[in-house]
Amino acid sequence: MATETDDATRQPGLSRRAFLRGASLAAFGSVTAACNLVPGQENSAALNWWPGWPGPYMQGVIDKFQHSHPRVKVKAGLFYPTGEKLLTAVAAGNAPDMVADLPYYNFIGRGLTVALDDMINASNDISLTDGDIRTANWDAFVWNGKHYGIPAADTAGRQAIGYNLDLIEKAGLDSNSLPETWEQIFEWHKHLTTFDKAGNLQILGIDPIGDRAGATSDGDTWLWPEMWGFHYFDHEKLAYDIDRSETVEFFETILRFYDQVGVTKMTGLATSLGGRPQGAFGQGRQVMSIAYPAGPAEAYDADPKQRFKFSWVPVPASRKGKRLQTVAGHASLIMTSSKHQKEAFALAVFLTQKEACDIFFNNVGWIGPRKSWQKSLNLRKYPEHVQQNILFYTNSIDEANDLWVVDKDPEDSFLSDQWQQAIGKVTHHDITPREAARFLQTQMTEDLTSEKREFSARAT
Amino acid sequence: MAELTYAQNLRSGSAAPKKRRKKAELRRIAVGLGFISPWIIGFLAFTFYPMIASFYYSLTTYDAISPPHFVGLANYRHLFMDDSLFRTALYNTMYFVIIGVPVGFVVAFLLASLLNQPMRGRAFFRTVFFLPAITPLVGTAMVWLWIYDPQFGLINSFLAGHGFKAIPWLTSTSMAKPAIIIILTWAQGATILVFLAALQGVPQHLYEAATIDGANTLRRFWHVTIPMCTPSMLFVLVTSLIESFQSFTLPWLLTQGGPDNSTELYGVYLYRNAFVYFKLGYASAMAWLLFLIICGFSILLMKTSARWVYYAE
Amino acid sequence: MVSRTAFSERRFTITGLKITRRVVFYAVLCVLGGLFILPFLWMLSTSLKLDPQVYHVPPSWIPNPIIWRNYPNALTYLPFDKYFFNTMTYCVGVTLGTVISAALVAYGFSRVRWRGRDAIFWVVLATMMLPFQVQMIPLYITFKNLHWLNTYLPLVVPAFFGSSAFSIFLLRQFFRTIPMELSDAARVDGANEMTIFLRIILPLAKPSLAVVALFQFMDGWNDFLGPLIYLNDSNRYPLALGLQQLQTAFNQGTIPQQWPQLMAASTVVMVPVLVIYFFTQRVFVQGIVVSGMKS
Repeated sequence: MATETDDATRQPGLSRRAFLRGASLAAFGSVTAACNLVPGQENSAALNWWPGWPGPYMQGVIDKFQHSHPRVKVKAGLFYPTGEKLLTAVAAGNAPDMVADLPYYNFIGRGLTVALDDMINASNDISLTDGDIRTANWDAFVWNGKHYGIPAADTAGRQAIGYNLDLIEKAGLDSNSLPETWEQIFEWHKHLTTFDKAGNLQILGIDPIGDRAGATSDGDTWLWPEMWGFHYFDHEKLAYDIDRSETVEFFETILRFYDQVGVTKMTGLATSLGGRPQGAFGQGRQVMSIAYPAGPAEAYDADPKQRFKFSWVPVPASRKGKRLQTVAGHASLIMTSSKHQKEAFALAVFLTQKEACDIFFNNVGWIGPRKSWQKSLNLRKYPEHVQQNILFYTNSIDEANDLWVVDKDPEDSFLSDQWQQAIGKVTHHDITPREAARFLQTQMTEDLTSEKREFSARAT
Repeated sequence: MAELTYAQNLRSGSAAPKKRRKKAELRRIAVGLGFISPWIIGFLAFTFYPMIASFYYSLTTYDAISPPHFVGLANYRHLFMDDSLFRTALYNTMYFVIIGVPVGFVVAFLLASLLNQPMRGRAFFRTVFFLPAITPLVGTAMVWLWIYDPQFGLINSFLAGHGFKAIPWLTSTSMAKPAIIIILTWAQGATILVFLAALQGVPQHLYEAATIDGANTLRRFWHVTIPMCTPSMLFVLVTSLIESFQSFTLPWLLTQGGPDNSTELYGVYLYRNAFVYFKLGYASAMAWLLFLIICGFSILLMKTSARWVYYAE
Repeated sequence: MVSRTAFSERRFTITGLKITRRVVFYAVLCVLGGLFILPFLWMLSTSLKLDPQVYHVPPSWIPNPIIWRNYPNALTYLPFDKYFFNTMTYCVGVTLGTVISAALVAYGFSRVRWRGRDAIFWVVLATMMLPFQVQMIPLYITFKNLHWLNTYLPLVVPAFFGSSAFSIFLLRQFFRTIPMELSDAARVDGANEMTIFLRIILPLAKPSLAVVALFQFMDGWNDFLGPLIYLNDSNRYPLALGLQQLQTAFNQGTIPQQWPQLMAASTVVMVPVLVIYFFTQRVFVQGIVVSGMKS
């Protein structure tokens, strides 16, 4: 340090010049870099798309689309969690043209996305009425009588419970008579859950929350009210109906499972291995799991040697015999602020078509929305039992005797968060199931009133 | 020479030199303000205005998309009366302040004392202890997430492999806070350096005098080392207190406030309200309260410091 | 004779005790040092493992086989090249802005005598106590209105206006150690303050400017909350957010938990900082010490 100072004193002129030269160069550099990072004028056909699902295969989808639409240049943003980031982007004025995989009704309800009816009706490539895409899939994105979403990948029926047949047979249970009610599931769960000598969890029967930790997160519906047979939100009156005996019951059901295993052990397993189909379930450490339609393929990819069976989700004993299925899933939404709505619409339609759906399915096992495509599905990649599992998700929409369309809740991401809060508190015995039902009701109602949220399409 | 001129001025009592002096002083003020003008602009635009605006927003509900609604003190009322999670967050933060800060403080001081012993390879060990402090927090979080993994993490995998019960580091309400405090203590490098410098600055003759007076090692440490280091201790306490009240990144990356809100710190809950729920008004009220709390604690520390901080001069 | 033996025996035990104490001392030091370094080794070891070996119970330390491709795989799964470029832009911008503005401001606070100077300097110090959370929301709204969100301007521009009170403080401390006579002599020669600042003080202050630059660079590299709030397009993310996004991607399960790749990416994010530290250790340590001593 001393020598450096000496040098500097000896040649002040030089070092000053050097400093200034360096400074101005660097200043220039940073200014140009900053300009570079300020959003500039977009090319007329540059489409900013937030698909929500990162992955190398996404580029393949984009390439195919650009090939058939050479005028359009697609730029895909890749990240989580889209809901919060999309709100900041809207606030910032740099919202993308098209989005998917987020709390849809947060944006539809606030009038931030476009009603697509005119474009759909004018299109030769997609139809509301020809039955290729099920009416229920369309209905999942209807708000105030208008269609706001084009069903996208991973959009078959949303619910099924998967069983690891190997583990079930090893435990001496009969895989031909699967449980139908939560009471039966609990008996199986007790039988299947094992610990080692030190008390560490070895095999878990089921985590009743599992990969459905969120209530309504990103395309999935809040499964529990449906299983107990009620709608928790009235989107015409904008009113929540959560504080009721059914809610108390399902909190009690969930609590039984957590008490039986111990809440830390239960969450610990999911933390290590993941609650998703390729997590503890796919790796043979959890016997049963409620999963979304990509489940069968993901579980197979996690360990091809294991055999799984996917079937109807359990219901409470009072509703025994209900074959429940829900239509919700993913859709492409076009933002109101978009200057390229036509191009975005073309991309949304493209995503429902064979070329795109094949790429999704072959890479991650997601199921596209068109019946014609589902029929032509080339499942030979998978063994027989996996094929049946995949088909269960598509066919069950038609076979269900208790079909639901997602509750349209414009605060669904907040609900999701509060639901996790409630689950945490109940399973840690901070509050009772009774109090949890009231807690959710209060939180949600308060959120609607005290924050003075404004929803564009408050029904008349 | 100068004195003479001054005396002459006094005697003549003329107004001109006074004016000249005043002018010179004004000029100096102008030059001074000129040099600090970037800071003045920055202060007004990026600190002062936001503080005032923050108070205004704390009286509104605002979601960044539709315009703010004025609601008076409703946000503050809600914070104090209805929001149990706010109380939880406050409790958790106080836990970090009251347990985490002293733990880190003591460990850092002991390590610094260790490094202050006559030894070979001091630079090496100093680097070792300092390294965690410059590691990017996100990297730190990733590594510790993996170390703390309930099944396959370094510690639990070892325990399970040898027939012991696994420790639910970040997955239990009782262990999550200590687990994060361990990480914070691990990343205390800067504090260690500050203490080490303070220790090295203790004049040798004080030790010698104490030894002559018959003080043993422990007494020397208590009566010489520690008093001489109290100014640095005050500095460390104030900075780590402020940091602790604001901490966000580590708990956010490790636990997102879980399990069951046991690591929902003030900073985390504030961020959640602001940029997850977009309750910007409510979050502003929290921010103002945080500011007052930090001010209160800092003033308290400064005020009591007269009693325990020893200044050599 | 007898007394002599006793004496030498006594001396022997003293040295023996001394040696034992030394051994214990170094042993404690090594164990503690080991604990501090362990997480890094564990990260490196994991980053070179094949996925199944990661799940060995009890853990194994030596990767077998060594999987170098975890690194390219992790860095191409998400566009880490972009993240790196973004981070560099951010760091260079912030560093430059801080060095220029803090030097000017510190000069005003230390080399020019003017009334009110110290009072204002107290305000500078007080801003260090201000929690970022208080400014965060109004700044977000202001930058939103300026249409600066999703750019690096909110992160870089304040640096040009002396946003780093710490740097101002550090430089002021250093400037004060330069003898006033140097400035006075130049003033007598008719130099104005700007000339003195540029010609005399800055060249002398190069080491402390380096400290400030270094600290700012590191701060920029490590910053998480700032980019998290202001940026929303992942193509603009810095490394810190990129790394977190990689973890989220693995967690969300488009592909299963991939600890080796995540550790590889973490290593890559850490290495530049560690390398810079190794080359600038002395400057670095000094900066921290100055900040700690003078308050």
